[in-house]
Amino acid sequence: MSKSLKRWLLTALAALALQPAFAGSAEIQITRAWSRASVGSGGNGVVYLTIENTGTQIERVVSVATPIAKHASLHKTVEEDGMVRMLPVPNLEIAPTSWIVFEPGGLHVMLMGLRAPIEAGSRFPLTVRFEKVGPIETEVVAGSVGALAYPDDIEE
Amino acid sequence: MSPGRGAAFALACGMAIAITLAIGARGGKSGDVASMPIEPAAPATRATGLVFTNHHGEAVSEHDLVGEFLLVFFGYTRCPDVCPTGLQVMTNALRRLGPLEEQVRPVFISLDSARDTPAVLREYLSHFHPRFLGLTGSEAQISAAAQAYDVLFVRGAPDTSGGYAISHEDDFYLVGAHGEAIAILDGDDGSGALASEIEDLLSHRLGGLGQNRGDS
Repeated sequence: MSKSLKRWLLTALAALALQPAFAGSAEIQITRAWSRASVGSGGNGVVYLTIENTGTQIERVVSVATPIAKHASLHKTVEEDGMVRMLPVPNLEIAPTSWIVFEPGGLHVMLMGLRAPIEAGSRFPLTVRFEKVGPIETEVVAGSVGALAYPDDIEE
Repeated sequence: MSPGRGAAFALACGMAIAITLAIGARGGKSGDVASMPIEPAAPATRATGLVFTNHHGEAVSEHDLVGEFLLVFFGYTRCPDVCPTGLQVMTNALRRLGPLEEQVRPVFISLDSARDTPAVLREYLSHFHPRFLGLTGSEAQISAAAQAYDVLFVRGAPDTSGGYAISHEDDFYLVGAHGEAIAILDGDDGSGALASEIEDLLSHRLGGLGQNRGDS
């Protein structure tokens, strides 16, 4: 799904720089990291976040990890042959003075093999390792199973 | 319109109308329209006699679904990104329908018959609209349903732990009270736009009942 309006809204909100959850370096900031409550046990999870590069060089995401899942990786939902499917994103680049918003139907962190269920309202750490600035840990806030945005946003 | 055998889910007969409506409702966004995965198939190849198991473990036939409007989405419960989004947009859209909400049954048809048991569906759907009907079944039953709706899906290769993802279409299918296709909707513009489209499509079928809807 392409959600241009939602992307615009999220981008506008991110630009306000009023995010309560902030993690980063001088050049790279991670904000508004959120997840969805999981259903059942041992399933998959998802994390959406915003990465901003305020530096002067291209930065790349090398890996992602969280203690609550056996494996985490960047995925992107794409539409191909009339179907939506998830593709791995091995080498996400963030250009200088730009930001990338992960959102439903697009870029997301895929958590595979959850070690414990994700409860709505809970928080857990996520470490994003960058090529130049190294690891940055951020706190992820979990919304409902069907959350569509960071928990303080209007659910649309 | 006869509710008899073969009429329910006979989406092909309404496919041309559905495409017209779906595109017409998206006026001015030609780029998106061009990417819409709608390809009508030959009516003669349509499956009939669809049967499922619902989220309570009971057998359901297509005839049991005649009598109310259906808003149908295909997916699987282990789908982390697209499916929760789709089900929440459906839920939010129905809640915006006012008096029409009671007349539209949200339906989730699982494309993952191996893992989506009735119990799994029941737990999953409890987080969405309370009137959700979850449908699962054998691989053959699910394939027949997907064929009837002209829904493409492909199971991906298993990973090291045996898990797999499923590529699938992510549109919403609005079906009439006699099983006839009304429209294919994409929901890309959010639940408010989806609710407006549903209301427009249904209100004239219901003698203007939907016009009582509030401004929400």
